[in-house]
Amino acid sequence: MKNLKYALLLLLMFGCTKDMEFMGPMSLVPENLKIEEPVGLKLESIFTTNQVSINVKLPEDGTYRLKIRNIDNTLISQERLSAKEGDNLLSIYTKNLGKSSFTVELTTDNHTVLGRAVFVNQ
Amino acid sequence: MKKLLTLLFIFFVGNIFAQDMKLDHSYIDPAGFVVGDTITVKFNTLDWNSSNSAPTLVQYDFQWNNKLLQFIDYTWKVTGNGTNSTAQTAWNTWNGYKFSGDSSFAANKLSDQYNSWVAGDASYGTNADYNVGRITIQDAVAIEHGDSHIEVRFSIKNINSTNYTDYSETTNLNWARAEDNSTGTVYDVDGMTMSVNLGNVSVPTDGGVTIKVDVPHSNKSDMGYSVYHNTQLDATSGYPKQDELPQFSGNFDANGEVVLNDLYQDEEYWIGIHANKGTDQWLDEVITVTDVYKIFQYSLDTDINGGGNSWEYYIQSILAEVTNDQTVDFDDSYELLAHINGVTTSGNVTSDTNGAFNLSGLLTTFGDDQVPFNHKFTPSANQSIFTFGHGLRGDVDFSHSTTPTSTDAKVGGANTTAKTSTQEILMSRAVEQANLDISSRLEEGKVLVDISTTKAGMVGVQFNISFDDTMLELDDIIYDTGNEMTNFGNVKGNKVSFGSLDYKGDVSVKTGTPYKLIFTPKQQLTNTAGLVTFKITEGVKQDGTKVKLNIQ
Repeated sequence: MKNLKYALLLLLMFGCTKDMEFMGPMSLVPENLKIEEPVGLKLESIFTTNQVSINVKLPEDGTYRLKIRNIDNTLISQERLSAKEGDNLLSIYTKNLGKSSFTVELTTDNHTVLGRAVFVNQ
Repeated sequence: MKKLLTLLFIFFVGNIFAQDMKLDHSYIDPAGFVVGDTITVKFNTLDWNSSNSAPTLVQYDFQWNNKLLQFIDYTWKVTGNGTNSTAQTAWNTWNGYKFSGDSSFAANKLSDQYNSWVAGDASYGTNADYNVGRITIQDAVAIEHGDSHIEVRFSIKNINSTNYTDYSETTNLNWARAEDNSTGTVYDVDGMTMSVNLGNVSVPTDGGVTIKVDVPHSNKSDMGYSVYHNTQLDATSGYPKQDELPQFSGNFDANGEVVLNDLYQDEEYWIGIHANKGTDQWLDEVITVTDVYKIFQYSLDTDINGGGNSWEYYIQSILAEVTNDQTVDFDDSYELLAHINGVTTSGNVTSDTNGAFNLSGLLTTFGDDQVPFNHKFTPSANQSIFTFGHGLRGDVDFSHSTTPTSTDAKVGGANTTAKTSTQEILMSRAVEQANLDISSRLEEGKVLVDISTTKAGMVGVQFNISFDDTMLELDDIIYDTGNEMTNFGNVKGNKVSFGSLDYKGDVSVKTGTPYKLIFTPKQQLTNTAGLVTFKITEGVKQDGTKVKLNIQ
């Protein structure tokens, strides 16, 4: 009887706790890639060699563009990608760009600019 | 009233204490310069308003007037200041650009100018008189104020060969940013000395002889010269004897100029001008689908009519002849078609692999019918500036060559009008602009590059694309250009040359997405940004108009 009381007590305790929410795959944003603003982009480092991580924070799921421009704003590389609302950890592959300073630009699919950042490829 | 006072107080205090740092630049040599002197310009920051700013990242742009200053070299000082020995540093330059700041802010509000530039409200435009330098420094600890970051050396040029009247503005600060990466703190930077003013520079009455090369491209500092005295010339050919070495040689500056101080008055000299591919490797951009189309059209006309003689300028028959058989025909067309297809050609075709095949002469007679290339000049008390033209074999549309200015250089003289349809096609005409959408994407494990255009009427299109061959392998090029269009494509290393050309000009490339490239990744990718870059994107219309395809 005593055991039954304990069992009922335990059942009541767990019965009254909030259901555990299912957690999807964790998307941990490193401190140096966190973006405070609701939309924008942030590079892991201003200096790059072959590859640099970038966080792209978006207002909603959709198709966006990552553009790489040289000093006179000429577009030299462009990716069209589907991304989700919030943080998206991506890469910029810089080996093929040559040694110079470039601007990476995040736009909507119809070219509205959401953010820009400068990097130096060495 | 109280609210108004509060607002005024916030505005007043806000404006006083908005700036955290100053960026300064100045020369460190004793004043009193003469032309040819070297000046050293140092750059440093200062903490301002006792804000205790501690930036771990500083980046700024400046520009210098390349007609007044000749860049020599730079030396990093920040890594020797005792605090920032492990700082990462970068020096980047661009020739022929000038900053157009945001007029909403004063020029010395460097942080505001940076923010405007990033937002697209300030920009760099092409300007042959200016070069831009970008300085980037990042460290794990704060970058010291007061100490020099970098020292940049310039040689002072003779103002007499320019349109400038003084040396008051030889450099300018354009924008600056400063951040503490460890806390995310962004500092506000103002400029201190915004321009370097050299004051009164003594200009010698004998300012040397200025040699200019008048070419329509931005790689002028990759142009070289060799000057011989007339006693070094072969009496028969008029060219320098085989074993003679030039008395003066070197490269032109970014403005296409050089001042030679040791030439003698009233002595005759001979100059040869040549192009080097340099670090930009621009010689592959000289001959494009427009040149190929025009030479095909000329060859068609010549073959049908037995010699259409349809060039606009005499020099075009020299530029177009790349097979050394003294005639322009289909052999030349196919040789140049092979070049734009990325195939190595004979040495007569200007390319990065072959080098330049140069033609040069005094501009006033450049391309003349009788003596197209006059290499000789004689400095005198009355003439110390000489301008030369320069051409590259294969470049019949003068995209990288001097268009002749002399009436004797035009077939039929000054008032030539096109009499045949071929002559219409071969006439020089303004370049058209059109939009193009090229983008890469990741789909089902493949990297796809889509090339889309709405521009109709192009009988030829050419693309040069490079890719990171450590990450990608090209599988295929898919053409959807129309059933009757002739396509070409070739891969050499990490470069893909492809396009289409109907050399008769009868059919044009389909609009939509006429080209698609498919790559297989060599390793797992999250996305594709930067893996594929675009170099040449050009089209040509049936009437011979070059179409510059601007990527959106």
